[in-house]
Amino acid sequence: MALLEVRNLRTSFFVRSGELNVLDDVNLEIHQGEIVGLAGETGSGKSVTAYSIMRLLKEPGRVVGGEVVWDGRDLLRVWDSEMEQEIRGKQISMIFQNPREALNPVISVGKQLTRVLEIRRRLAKGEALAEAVRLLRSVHISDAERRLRSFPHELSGGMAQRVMIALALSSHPRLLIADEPTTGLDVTTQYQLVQLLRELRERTGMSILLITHDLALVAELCDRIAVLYAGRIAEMGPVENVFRTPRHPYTSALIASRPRQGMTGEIPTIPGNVANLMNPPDGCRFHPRCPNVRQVCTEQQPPLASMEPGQMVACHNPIAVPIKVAVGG
Amino acid sequence: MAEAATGQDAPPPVAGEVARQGRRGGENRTGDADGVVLAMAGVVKHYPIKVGAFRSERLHAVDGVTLAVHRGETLGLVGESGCGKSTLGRLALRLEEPTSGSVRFGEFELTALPGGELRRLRPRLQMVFQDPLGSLNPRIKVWESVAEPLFLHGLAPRRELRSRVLELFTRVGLAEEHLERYPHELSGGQQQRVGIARALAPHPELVVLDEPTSALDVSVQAKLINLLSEIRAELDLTQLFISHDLSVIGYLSDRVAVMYLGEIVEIGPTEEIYRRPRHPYTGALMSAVPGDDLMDRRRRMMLPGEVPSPINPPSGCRLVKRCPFARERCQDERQQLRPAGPRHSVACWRAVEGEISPEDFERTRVALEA
Amino acid sequence: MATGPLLEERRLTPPGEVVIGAAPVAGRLSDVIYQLRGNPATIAGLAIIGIIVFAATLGPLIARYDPYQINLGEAAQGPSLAHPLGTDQYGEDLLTRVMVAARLDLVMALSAMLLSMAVGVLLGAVAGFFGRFLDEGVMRSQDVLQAFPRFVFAMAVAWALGPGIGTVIVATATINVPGYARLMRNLMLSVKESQFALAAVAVGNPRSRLLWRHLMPNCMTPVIVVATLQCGWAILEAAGLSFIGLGVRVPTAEWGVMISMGLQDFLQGHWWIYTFPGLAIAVAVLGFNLFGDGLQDILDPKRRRA
Repeated sequence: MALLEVRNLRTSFFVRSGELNVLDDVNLEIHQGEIVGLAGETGSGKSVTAYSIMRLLKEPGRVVGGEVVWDGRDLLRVWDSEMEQEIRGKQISMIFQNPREALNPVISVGKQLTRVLEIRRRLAKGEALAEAVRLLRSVHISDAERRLRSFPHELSGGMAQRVMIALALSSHPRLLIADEPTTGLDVTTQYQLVQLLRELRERTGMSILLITHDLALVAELCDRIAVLYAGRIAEMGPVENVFRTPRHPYTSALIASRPRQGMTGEIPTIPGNVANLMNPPDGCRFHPRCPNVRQVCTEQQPPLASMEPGQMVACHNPIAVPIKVAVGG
Repeated sequence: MAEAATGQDAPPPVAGEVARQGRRGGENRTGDADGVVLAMAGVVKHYPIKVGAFRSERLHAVDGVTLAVHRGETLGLVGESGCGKSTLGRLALRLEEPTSGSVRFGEFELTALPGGELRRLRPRLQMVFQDPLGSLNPRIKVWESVAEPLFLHGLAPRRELRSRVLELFTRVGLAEEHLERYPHELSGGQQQRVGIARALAPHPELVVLDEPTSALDVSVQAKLINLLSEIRAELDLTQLFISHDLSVIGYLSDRVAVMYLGEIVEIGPTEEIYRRPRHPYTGALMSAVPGDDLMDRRRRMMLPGEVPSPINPPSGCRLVKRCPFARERCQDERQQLRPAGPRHSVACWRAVEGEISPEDFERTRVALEA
Repeated sequence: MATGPLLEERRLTPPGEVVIGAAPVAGRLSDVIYQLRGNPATIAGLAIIGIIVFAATLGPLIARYDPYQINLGEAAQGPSLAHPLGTDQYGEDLLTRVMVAARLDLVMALSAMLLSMAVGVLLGAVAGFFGRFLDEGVMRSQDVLQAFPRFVFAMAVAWALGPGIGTVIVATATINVPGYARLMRNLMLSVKESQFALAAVAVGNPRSRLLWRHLMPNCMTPVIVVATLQCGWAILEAAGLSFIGLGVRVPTAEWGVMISMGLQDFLQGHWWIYTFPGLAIAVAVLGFNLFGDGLQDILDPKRRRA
């Protein structure tokens, strides 16, 4: 029984020129204690997916179809008040890119933390303070008492993100949604955060939905990955499988388009541009750019189908995987 | 060296005049006898910061950098955010005034040039900026932004400006329809191509690229990097490429300089820096570079703690609080770049004296929990 | 299907908040109309301004009466068919006078606004661009100007210059200069640090061209918004000066003057003599405010209609 099940999610942005179909039939499952990565480029709809789940979309964006099942209930259909009091910040927490921007710049970090604890968990002032210190320590912020007095601009990017994680954890959520949490952070700080998140998963059994464009980060942190292209899931499965034997041409091209030291020749690139969501291509949205394209791809949308146990691909002509020959007599 | 070339009694070259001659190529190209196009020596940049009502402290953005970029080479400058690399890029073009130190472009000492002469020299040293949208005037059509350097320096007659810009656009992969657009009407990748076209318009000899692809998606970045490679080969450009992205730097650079807290800690040929780093900080950085196989979750060399503040940095080696190989001498003695191999210098006495090696860095790597 | 937008956080952009690098309103008429359609308040404001401008330009031409025609036989008559707004103590038709006054007040306010904008923007731009001593000097001088209560200061200037239209314009402009200067200075300080400013220097722009061609145009949007909002208040200030006798004088057809004349008959209950000009001022201020607010919505990309 999955913790969170997103079924046939459809979200559109209604702008002057028409309807931008940003998410089209997105399906996703997160089990308890699992770290799932939702990977894609700009315009793929990955952040919009998170906002749709959390019902944080602002005009002109709207969820127009599908279900988000949490604990047997469809989050898209519960009352606003319940969403706000029970779900958001309580059972499902979210952290964002640019942590310093998410914090109030004129209030000390400690005050922001204790206020949340007092209101959300109804702790008394003294208890809240102690809990705040404990939370900061749990995210490996040394010298926690002194840090409580700091202001957001005094914190480094990595430390600010840890404070955000501490805030997000204050209610013991069962799911943490992290939207590009390491963008802009240094590579050494990034890996400290990765370690922290994995440790939190081990300790508390919390699930994490990681939203990112950084494939290396997904490889480090996630158990499973879903690759999103133009509002549709292209491929989904355990990270080892998807990264070592990608079946969808987009996934494969994305992995190949990274520059590496010692590489000779041009970097392989994906021809064309990201699909226009106002007027998406018929059939498979990736077909104008796909090296494996066939006639059927221009007409029919490929369903998300199982290839191997656990690995699902939405492609009419997926990349063939060499058959393993049994070794030995 | 300049005196020898122009003769004893010749007057010193006038920047504007030489700038025009330079473009015809050949003997008058920038670069001294060693083919050094850009030479920075002991460059320091401190910013005064107000701390409290009366006290003022100094932020050491760049603290004594010496490096040289040779003609035709791409020198990669890599470091994490806040290390001062962007500031260094601006200092190289004297877009900011160094607190002290020397910046030489060919035979010109940039810091000593009066404003007008510096301005006339500008066509020869250009920059591609980090924010594709932010680096273009939002109220001007993109073709006008690219035409501006040509117009300002009289490099093309008025009626030819637009066609020259169209040539440049074609070279960077843009179409005629993009000429009349405003920056916000283009995608990030297209905006950055405009930035590249603008930098190339005056036929510069040196181009500083400050994180030109950091704001772009991976697939867009790949295309732009391919473009930069092509152009570099075609125009025989000399480049200073600044980035925090180790993969990009590794792919594009001939030599790499690693920067930490305002100082260069290691500089050498790309292959050596990446495969056999000598400085502990470089070792830590390189252990984080993803390889061909994303799933190769290699063990990493972790540096505990965080980068110290550039306001009042530690005396002695700046890595001392985080370095697994630190000794007492590291706390007292500020490290300078010293040769550790042909064309390879390190600012670490233990590395230079052979006490620590890349193999030691391998041994300290830690596996992330499975 | 119970879907729909939920948490709405409308961040209110305070007027004059810097929107550097904002997409310029690409002059396409259809774009502008689309934005307007999503903003009924702006349309209302525009309509009101339109009416006032119409009254100001055409009113005096089609009016049946001469605004200065004294006709004691018809003095102080309430609104009627012959005189829709009534007459004042001298028998002058109020409708005609209100419309003629519209022209005068509008001209004075707009002139004051343009004058204060020109001077303020110049001062602020210079202060922000050159910085240091020039910045200090200019800003401290603005501090001095702003140290006095606004209207009292305007009164002092008007009194020193003697009555007249020019006086009203200069006095009103003077008290508005510091606002523009500060705004422009802050915008300039920001824009100076932008990447395109740096790029402009890198390609070889001299300082003068940098300031004129690159920096200033990118500061003007908030200034224009503020100017539009100011128009309404400028009308009030101009009328106010005339009301107390320091601006234009009786019997000029000017809203402030008319109110002051009307109040003389307050006890007689001739309410129409002061009410209608007062309403005119109120409506004018409302119109410009609505329009200015809406203009900000249109120009600020964060608040534009998608």
